[in-house]
Amino acid sequence: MKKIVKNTKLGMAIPLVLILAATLGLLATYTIKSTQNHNKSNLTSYAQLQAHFIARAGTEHALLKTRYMHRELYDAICLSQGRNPLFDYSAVKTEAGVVTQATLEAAVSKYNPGPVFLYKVGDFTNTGLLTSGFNDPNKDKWLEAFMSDIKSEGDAGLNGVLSFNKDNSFNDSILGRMSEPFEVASYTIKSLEIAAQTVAESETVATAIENSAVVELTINANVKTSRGTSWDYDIKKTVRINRQ
Amino acid sequence: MKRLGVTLLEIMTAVLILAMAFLPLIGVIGTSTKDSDVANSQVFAQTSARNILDTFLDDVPFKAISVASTPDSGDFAYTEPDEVKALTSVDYGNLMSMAELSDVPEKDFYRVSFLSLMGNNAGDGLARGELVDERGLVYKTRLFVFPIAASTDSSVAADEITFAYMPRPEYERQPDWYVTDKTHMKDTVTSPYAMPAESIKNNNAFAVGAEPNASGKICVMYKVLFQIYWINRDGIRRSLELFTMKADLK
Repeated sequence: MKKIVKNTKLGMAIPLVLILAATLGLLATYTIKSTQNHNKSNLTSYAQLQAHFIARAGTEHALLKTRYMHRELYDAICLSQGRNPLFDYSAVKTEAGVVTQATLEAAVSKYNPGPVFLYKVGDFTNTGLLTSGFNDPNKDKWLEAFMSDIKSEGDAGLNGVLSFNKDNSFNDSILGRMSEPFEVASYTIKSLEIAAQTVAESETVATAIENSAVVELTINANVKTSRGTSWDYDIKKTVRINRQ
Repeated sequence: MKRLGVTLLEIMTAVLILAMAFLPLIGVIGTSTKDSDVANSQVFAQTSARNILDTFLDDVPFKAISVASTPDSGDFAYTEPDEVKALTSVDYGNLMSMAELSDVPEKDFYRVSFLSLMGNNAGDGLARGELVDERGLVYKTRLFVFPIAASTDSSVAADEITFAYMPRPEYERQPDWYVTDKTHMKDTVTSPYAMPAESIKNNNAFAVGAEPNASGKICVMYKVLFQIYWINRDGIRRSLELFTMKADLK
């Protein structure tokens, strides 16, 4: 009797090739996706880079203003803290580096036309040179005025030359040189913090306390490219200012 | 045994399917190689641009910068008029607007240190040059500056920079203000916070002490455009531009 053997290998080549082709298809799809992501990543990097330099432009603007208007900024800081900007803080010297009411009074009577603080006894309580919780409703208006024009889009027709806006005629010769001019680019000051209020208090006799302050500026930039990629970027800059 | 011939047919069909599968894959590989070339170029361009522009903002003294007085020539001539719109009055008389650097020994700045970063080994002061990546691709760099004017009189024109501030209240003008033995205000004087608010004022750079440059003009800031461009292996010219500002901070 002849044994019938079933050939199970029949038709195997085509399924194998189909599997191989499908694998190649997947590989191709992955390659395309990967390249697309890479390109997208580059575009994002470009938007991020441009936002970084718009923020740097804002920082330059802020530092320029700080350079020329240091007295106004110092006064605004003192007013926001309830301190008298005319007081000569270099007169306040302590051996231990701690300013007390007694050392302040001694400095006032000996050197200064006083007072140290711009409020009356009982209104607030100072701790050394500073007054925690000082909350006069008008205390920040000088600082706010100082910050009001640190931005790329000026108000009332002022500082139009600083704009990065593509519709601004001042930028024609710049944007005309760009292969992909951005849709929107702007910067503004986000905050101006008095970063080192205690610097003066930590000074000792060896390094006289001077009429200076340390501020931390935060500049925010926003860029939207012509391809619709958008990016925000913040830069912080710390700077010491002197009244004189 | 009836397998003869069937395998041959199968193999031919399989080869046909494989060939059809390979065709788009070859296309994808080609496109991917091109895109990879472009992406690598962009990474090099972005890295170089950031390095150059950060160095320009951080290390080059404002005093060392001017707008090039003579048009460049040779390989770096500005020969793409089609990509430049009509120039406006903000170009301040120099159609090139390319930055030119000079040495400032008192600030320990020698222009060659920055210009070599841009790939300028020509020995002149023009802010342009040529960089080559590890694949041998050549990138050309250029730096343009556009002065921001500042007024020389008390008025503030639209193209001039101004600084807003609110004057300090003059509380010290009150009688009995000058107390020499008190740390707090006297009860009889008016608090500066209760005084009538001054309006915000705008000072131009001249009013706050900016000094004129050698040509008698006051310039306290530049708008800055950095450009780097190259031609990829596909023959297409690509470029990257970054826009920022630099102020006279020292």
